[in-house]
Amino acid sequence: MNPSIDELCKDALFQLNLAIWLTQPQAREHSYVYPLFYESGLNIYSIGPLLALPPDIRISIGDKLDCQDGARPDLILESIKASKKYCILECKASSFSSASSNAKQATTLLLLAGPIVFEVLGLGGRGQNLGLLCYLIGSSQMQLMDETFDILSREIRNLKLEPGAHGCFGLTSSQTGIFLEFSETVERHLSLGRPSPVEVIQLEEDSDPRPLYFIPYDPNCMDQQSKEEQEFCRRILFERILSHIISEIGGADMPASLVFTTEGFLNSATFGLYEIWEDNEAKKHLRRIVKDFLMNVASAFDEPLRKCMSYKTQVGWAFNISNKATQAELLKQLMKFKPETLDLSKRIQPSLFDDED
Amino acid sequence: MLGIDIFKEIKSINSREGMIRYLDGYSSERMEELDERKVKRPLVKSYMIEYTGHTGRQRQIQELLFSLGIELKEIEESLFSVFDKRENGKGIGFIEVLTNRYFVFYTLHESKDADKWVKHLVIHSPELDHVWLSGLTFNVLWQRVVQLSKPHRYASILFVHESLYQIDSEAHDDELEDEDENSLLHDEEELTQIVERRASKFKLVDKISVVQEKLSQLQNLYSPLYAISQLRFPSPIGRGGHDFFDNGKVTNRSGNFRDHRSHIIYVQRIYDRLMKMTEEKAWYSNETVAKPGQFQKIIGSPVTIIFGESLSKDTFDYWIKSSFGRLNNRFRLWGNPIILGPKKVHVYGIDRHLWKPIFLELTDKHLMAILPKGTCGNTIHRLICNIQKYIDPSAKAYIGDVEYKEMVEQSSKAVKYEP
Repeated sequence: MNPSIDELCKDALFQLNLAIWLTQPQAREHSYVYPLFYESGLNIYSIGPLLALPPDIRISIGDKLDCQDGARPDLILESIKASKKYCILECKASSFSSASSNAKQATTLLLLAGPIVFEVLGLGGRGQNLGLLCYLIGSSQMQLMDETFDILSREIRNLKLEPGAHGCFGLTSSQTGIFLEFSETVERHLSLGRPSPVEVIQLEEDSDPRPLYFIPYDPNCMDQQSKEEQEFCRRILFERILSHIISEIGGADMPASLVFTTEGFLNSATFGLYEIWEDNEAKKHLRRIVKDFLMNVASAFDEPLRKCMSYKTQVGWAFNISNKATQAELLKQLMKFKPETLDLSKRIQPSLFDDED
Repeated sequence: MLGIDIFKEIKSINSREGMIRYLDGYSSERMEELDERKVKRPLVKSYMIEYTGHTGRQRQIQELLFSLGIELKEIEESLFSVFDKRENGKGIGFIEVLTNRYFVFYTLHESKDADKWVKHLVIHSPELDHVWLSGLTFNVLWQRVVQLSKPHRYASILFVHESLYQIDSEAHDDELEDEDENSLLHDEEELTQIVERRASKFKLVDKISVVQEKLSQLQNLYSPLYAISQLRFPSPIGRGGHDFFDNGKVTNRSGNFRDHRSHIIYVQRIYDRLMKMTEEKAWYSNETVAKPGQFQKIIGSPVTIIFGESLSKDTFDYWIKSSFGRLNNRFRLWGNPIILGPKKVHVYGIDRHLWKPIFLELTDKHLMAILPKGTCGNTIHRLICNIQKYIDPSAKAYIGDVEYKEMVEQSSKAVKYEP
């Protein structure tokens, strides 16, 4: 594994995992990812929530503004300090202009971060507080991004509506580390404990700086990922699914009949995020990848063991294990299986039975 | 498995009081023999065991042990006599269920036999585990010893550290095949090969006031002294005391079983609190705030074990190779290491003892673990115990931003009088 650090900073999945790590409590004297958000009293309020614009706002907008009825930002951070504040965080490779296709989502998020933020989060009434919309981008083009936000905010105000405050986190790298840059507005609004820039990961010679991934896969990020990062993420996904199977079989009382669904595997491997992803095509693609992986696992078994594992449409993957000796042998072979030996960039073609599981 | 059929002696015991009186008398006899340096029969040994349900359903202890060939006969509520069906139903001791998570096994058999029997039981059931008392935990328990005992009483502390993965390069391959859990217990003459690596095992017996004054200074000077693996709680009503081992074994070297049992219950209560605190803080889960499929957030804290000194490249490589290159490894972990650098590895693996997932980042400077909800807290305690014993005795551990030592401190202070 040897990714370009600049490429990595632009990878939305790396950014998302980094943002999660920034909220994690860690040892004061030694933290691999400096927990800037945690130290500043920022918690994860929600991952990937679907937020809808209230009806009166949608009516006011009509077709006068290019925006969506709702949006699903990557993360919502909650300040647990005296006055509660919420930051809608969206990860993107780089800045974009107001004419870009990303502007539609940004306009929606600006509206959601406005005085309606408490209402859309179900926390209280309108006008109680303002949110902050922050884009985490993989470059230092924060000024360009702010210009886009200013244009989109003006368009919102022209309709007598109110956008939320906005700002950016920029990820940059040097020879020694990965830095998080942010404006004074962001620092003030979120009461960040340190001024920009903050070194969030120290680089070690010849070492890949990626932390452990909480979320190893997100179909929405795939298009923006480098081939290396896609393979890396697919490897983690497979390792997690394999460990899930081993865990379940290893802990089962014999004889056992265990049934796993592809969705179940994916939820366990993504801390439950799979089920909230909306892109059905992407989810279908992901299920295909997992099915292919499991076929590879099954084909690696010695002949007598193959009959223990079967796939049944509408049911899922069934393991029928008759006794402890079979369990032990199955575990032995599963533990010898190496996802790294698979073609991790393999394109999986749709099959006739895609929709059956 | 065991030479003596204690069943003959204990078969008439039909109450808790009867058991305690019998073991009290037995302990008193052994104490007299210890004084005369002629111990005719083994000392009373107790083993604190944790038991959990793998899939949320906790089996009754009788059912659980029956599947392992052990039969329990109820003497009284939560007290059983133990018979090994694999040994023609031979009686081997008593089990007292302390809580719905811990039981203690009392036996009169020789250490070597009883240790083997308990180890076999634990290895063959993911629902059972030792109670793991790490050096960090013992350091806090030592303060309780100081608090509970008169300064002129004698403390007995055993320090064991073996830098198992620090090896000379020639011995490297042999070590992989030859790893022996009791290697420190061999006489030096038995070793056929000289392996150069740090290994410390020594016992300190001195007045409590002397040890209290010097211990932390000595630990600062020589880090293996952080790796306490055995600690004696002196008996308050006589000579000797209760030797607690890092795997939850407790040997009664006093003439009183009631006091022995009280000390076990006291330490188990500390451990139980520590376990709950670590699990509450460390477990990662995806919590649904509103209704399923809506607001999700990840809660939990990473576990970080920071080494006092960075590991050398050879040591790091050997540790990874030994832990993930073979199925029977000391850390009882499984996973396919994802190499991220010469001294950095990620593993999305399994705690092979409990068959629960664990995600690990291992570097020359730290071990970081993410434990999905449901992974038993014992995984953390076993990890810390093994790191101190075999990698770095001066390692510090954190659950999130709270030092593990502080959590043990809080747990031990929280154990108060309960009527």
